[in-house]
Amino acid sequence: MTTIRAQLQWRLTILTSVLLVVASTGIYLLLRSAMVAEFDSGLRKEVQALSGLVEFEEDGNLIEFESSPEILSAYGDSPGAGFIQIWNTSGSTVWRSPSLGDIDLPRRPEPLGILRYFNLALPGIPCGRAVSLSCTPRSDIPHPPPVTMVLARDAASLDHRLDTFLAILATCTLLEILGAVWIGRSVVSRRLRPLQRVAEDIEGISAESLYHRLDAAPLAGELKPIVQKLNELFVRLETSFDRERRFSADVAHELRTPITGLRSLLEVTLERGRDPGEYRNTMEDLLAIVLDTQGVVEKMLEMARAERGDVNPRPRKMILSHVLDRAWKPFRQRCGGRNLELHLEIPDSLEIQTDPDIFHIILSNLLENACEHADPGGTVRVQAEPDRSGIHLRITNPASTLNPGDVNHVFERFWRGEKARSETGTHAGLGLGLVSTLVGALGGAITAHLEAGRFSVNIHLPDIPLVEL
Amino acid sequence: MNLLVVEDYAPLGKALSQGLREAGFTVDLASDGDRGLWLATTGDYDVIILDLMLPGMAGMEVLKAFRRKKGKAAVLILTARNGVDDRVRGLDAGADDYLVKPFAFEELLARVRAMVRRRYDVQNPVLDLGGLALDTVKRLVSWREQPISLTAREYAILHYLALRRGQVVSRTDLWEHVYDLESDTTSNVVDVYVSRLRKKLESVGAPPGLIRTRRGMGYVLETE
Repeated sequence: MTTIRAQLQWRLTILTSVLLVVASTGIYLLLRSAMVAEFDSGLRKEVQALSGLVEFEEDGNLIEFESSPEILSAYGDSPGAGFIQIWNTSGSTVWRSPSLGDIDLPRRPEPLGILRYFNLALPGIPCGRAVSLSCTPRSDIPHPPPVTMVLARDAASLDHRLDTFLAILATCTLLEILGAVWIGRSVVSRRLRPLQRVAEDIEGISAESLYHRLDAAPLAGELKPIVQKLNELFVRLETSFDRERRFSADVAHELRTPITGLRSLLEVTLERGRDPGEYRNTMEDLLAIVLDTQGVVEKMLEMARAERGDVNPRPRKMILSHVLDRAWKPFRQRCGGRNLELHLEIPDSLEIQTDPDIFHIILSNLLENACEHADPGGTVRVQAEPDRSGIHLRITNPASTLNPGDVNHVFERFWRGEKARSETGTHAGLGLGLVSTLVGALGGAITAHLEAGRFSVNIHLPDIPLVEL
Repeated sequence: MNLLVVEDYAPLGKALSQGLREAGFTVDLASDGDRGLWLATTGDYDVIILDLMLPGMAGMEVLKAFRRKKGKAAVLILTARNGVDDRVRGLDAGADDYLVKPFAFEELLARVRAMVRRRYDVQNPVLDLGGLALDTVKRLVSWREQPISLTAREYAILHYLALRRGQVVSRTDLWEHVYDLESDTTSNVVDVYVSRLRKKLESVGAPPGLIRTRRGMGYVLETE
């Protein structure tokens, strides 16, 4: 796997190496040029001085070189001696230094006063440096014929110094490259360490450790928004996982009691032979438990469907009082048994435009909740009034066992008030939670209040536009 | 043995009561915490089976209040919650055992039997009283390896006397341990059962004085 760190390190290494090599080459060339120029400067001065020793004798129409013993010694056979050769305009050699022996220097005639430098091999010396100069000899007559003089010297010491410098420079460059690679790796590693730590943190996060948050503080500005978004994602994931865990635990908890009832009834009944009447009683008990459990499971499924957005409202215009009558019917007998009365305060012609099936489930659960948990002998009051966008619905009932703090929990799944705990297995505390979810699915809002011992649920449901099917 | 079941889920309470009665226990049933506490503190129970999630007073509060009032009965908690914290809290509040729903009824019976044995400081489920032996698991009684056929009530009386062997047990005490609150009999009926018990024991060679009557006080099971 190619990592950002490896890529950065490689690219930095290559870039640094190229820069160092280019810089070193430049330095070498500059220095070489300076040293050669210095060498050439010596040659220039020497050749200009020597040019003053060439004389034209008018009488004999001869060109002569005033070679003194010092000159002959400096350009003789001794090691380190220079090489001189002088030609006249016709190309005949006028004078040559003893150091040349039988070898000629190359003649490079140039315009008068112009110096020309070049490399050449000398007798016994592979690397020499020479300068050519065309000059006018000293003479009493005006415009004597010019001569060409070439002065050459051994340049081995210059080459040797340049080679040494090149070796030192190459070594330094190599060391610099190695150093740059090491520093580059170190810097890249250090700068990327927070990112690597984030990667390790992310790698270590599992479903069990979603509470963990990434630390954005040590990161560069460009990475902070990414880490913040990741943290927000973890929060959402944690909430989701917690909800799932809580839901699973609640489901397990809620189903354990009826399952225990089923199991115990079956085990006790099967412990010995029974008469048909006993078996019938057991069957009736089992059926009651199964029906209760089925109710719980169905509500959980409806809620799960609504929560995952699997609700597709099909609105219809309805008279609210008619819908309420239909929803109240199943609870009339049960509420009557607890001496509860239903009091409707709804305009006869009040219409609502929403999904009839979902609205029926909402009303049924609200009425069932009121019917089951209202104080016996009280009145369940249903009020409704229209507004510009829909209706306000309010269902109240006396609830002396409810505490003010309970109101914050009534829409939580599986929450049950003190009194409702007497119906283990019958009421799982899902009704109002389901109502809340379904009201949300219809685009409405729901709140609960407890005032003067009366519990009320307030719902605002907007009209849903009718759609042509 | 006298048990109290405090369980609000009616089908489960009914099943437990029936199963425990058929296993030879005397069972009273309470369906809320307040009644459960009242029965627990006014009755003489050997084991209380207590659900934690109860209407009225919660199971944990019942347990704490019962222990505060010096209640001595062994308490078995029944709950749907099986977290370590829940178990620790229950046991630390004074419970003797803990059973998570759903459970096998056989396990409940075994735990109740074990709690009864601990309450009467008996380790062996087979009570060996000289020649008289009571297998409290199989509910079999024998005298010198001769089986004796007893009714449930006769067995319950002999079982209680055996657990308290050498001690004088009053008629009321015996009655409370073999009849539940729904029975409309009086403690005099205990005399009838003791008389039948003696006859059955003597029929297999047990000495006549195995169950002695202490006039005005009650009965005592004399062992060798």
